[in-house]
Amino acid sequence: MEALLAVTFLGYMIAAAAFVAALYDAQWKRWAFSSLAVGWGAQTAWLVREGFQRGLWPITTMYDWTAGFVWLSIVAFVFYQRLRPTWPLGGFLMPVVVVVWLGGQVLPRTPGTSTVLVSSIASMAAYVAFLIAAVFSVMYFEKERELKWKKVRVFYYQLPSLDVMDMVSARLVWLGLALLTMALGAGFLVPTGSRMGLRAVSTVIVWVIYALYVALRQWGWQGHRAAVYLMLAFVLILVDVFLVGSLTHGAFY
Amino acid sequence: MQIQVVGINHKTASLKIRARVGLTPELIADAYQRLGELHGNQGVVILSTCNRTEIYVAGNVSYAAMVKWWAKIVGVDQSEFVDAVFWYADDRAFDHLFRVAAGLDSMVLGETQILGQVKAAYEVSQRYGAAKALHRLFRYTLTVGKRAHAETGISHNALSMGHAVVELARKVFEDIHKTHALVIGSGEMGTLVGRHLTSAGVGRLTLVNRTVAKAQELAEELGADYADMAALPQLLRGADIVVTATNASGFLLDETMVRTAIRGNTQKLRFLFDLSVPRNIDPAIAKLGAGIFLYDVDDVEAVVQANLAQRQKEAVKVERIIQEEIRSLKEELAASEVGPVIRQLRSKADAIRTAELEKAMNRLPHLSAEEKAVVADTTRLILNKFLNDAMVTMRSWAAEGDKQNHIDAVRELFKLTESNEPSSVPMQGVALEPER
Repeated sequence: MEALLAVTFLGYMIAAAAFVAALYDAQWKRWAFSSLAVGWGAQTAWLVREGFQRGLWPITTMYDWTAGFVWLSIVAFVFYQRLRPTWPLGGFLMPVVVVVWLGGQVLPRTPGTSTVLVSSIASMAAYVAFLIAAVFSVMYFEKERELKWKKVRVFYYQLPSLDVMDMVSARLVWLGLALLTMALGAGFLVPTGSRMGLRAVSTVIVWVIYALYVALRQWGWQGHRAAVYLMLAFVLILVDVFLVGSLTHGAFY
Repeated sequence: MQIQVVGINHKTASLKIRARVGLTPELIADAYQRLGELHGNQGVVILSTCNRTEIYVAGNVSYAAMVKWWAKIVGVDQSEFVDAVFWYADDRAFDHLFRVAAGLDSMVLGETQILGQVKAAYEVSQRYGAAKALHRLFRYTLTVGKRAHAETGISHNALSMGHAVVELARKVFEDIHKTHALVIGSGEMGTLVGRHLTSAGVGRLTLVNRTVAKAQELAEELGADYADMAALPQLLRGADIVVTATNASGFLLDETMVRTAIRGNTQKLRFLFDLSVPRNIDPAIAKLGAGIFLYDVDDVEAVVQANLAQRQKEAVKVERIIQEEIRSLKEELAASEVGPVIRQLRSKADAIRTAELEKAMNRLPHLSAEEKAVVADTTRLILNKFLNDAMVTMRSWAAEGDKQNHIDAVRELFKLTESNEPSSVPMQGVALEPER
């Protein structure tokens, strides 16, 4: 494994462990954010280098897509921290990010030659929004479980209130859905080859799943049921991404 | 100089004794005006609250003299309270005061009110010019108190039933001012919870009581709405927080009533607190919707106990802060004792140098101004190099316990006086040089 990827892996791994530890002892927060910065810095350097070497944006394969997805998830996490400090989110998000990043490492790395930039970035950002919405749903689920079981432990003290987590998940889905709509529009406008069909179909399925969520919320879905829906929806996204990745032999288009 | 504390608190004395020997503001004023009777004191601060009366004294004052003075001030015979008096000196006195300020010594672990009381006690002492040698200690004390509350969770999480209800509600509803709370029962517990909800800023509070006049009276005090029991099914529909605290022997909220109230909106978040014994809310209601949380008295008490355990965990962090600050305080106090000796020694040496240099210059009138400056610089350099090791060694004594003997020896050896002026050479024109 090359040096930049090794530093990325170590940084994210330590950050994930430290964010989980920080849920129990806040002293680990400093370690968590520091190692996150190191990992993210290394990954940014890797992405820039890849871009220069290939002479185009490094979003041409599924491998690139997972790397970009991880990178953007961390940007979104840090951005959300600035909007509304919720560092315990890192304890739930980072382990998922590490798993996605590791999963991406097994995908083929033969670079493609072209990409629909707007579509790719918009769909990636949409999936990041769905990931964070799912993570908030997991947090909701855990805190609700402690409150229901009347055994207050770490989540009772560390996580935001239930209504906030429910509301943030919903807003992220609305944002993600808007981005995904944009990605689909851009993708349809610029045909890029025969495999476009498979990717487009899978994206449309994801769009329908989240559009249904928005509709269900209008009909009164919230709280527990909505959280379970978002967790399952994101599992479906992961299956979809890796399934399509293997069917297309690692090519993004 | 010693710093000591004598006092009584809720752990050592009964309420009766605390009330008997506690100092009212008038008695404290009287005490500060009678400091002359406490011979040898170099600073006094009196802290008197309902849970403690503590007298901090700097200087060489005996324990017996302190207790005798205290007894005279309050007009109570020593024998009535002396068994309950505790006494600590130096490190233990610092530790005690820091623990008090951080809320570790309070009845309610981590409470914040005591820090304000310590600050007020110090300010009163300052007003009478009585704090003197205790300034540094109290400055550190206020820092410890602030750090304890800012850097740890010692004062977080509710330890009373009423406060715990609000805290639990906040775990579900971030903006409690957007919620509608319904409190059923206007007895002691209902009133307490109503007050807590009001001060937490609940959006709308409705009080329901079998005797409407009682609910009305409390509602007027709290700026809330009120209703009778008949309105309960209707009020339940819009309520986010429901608290029952009555003496009723059966369920006031049964499954049918709640099922009807939440029909069409079973996923809405609702927090129900049954603080009545026997229960007023049917436990089966908890299963009517995923958004319903139902806590009884024991459940709320369990949360209070968990919160207490959390605070006890945080207390370990506060202890670390206290030890850090005690170390800094001791270093500062020690440096303040060694500092004057260092200054006296440098002053005396420099005065000798200046005087001898002046004599030499008188014998060497042919030297140019530049040459004179070179000679003056050389003498200054020789002196600084010669004194440097002594200065470093003396500074290291600041951290030692038996430094007083060393300080006395240096004073005796170089005939240094307490007045900060050298005994044999006039100080005029002496400028202190930084060590090189």
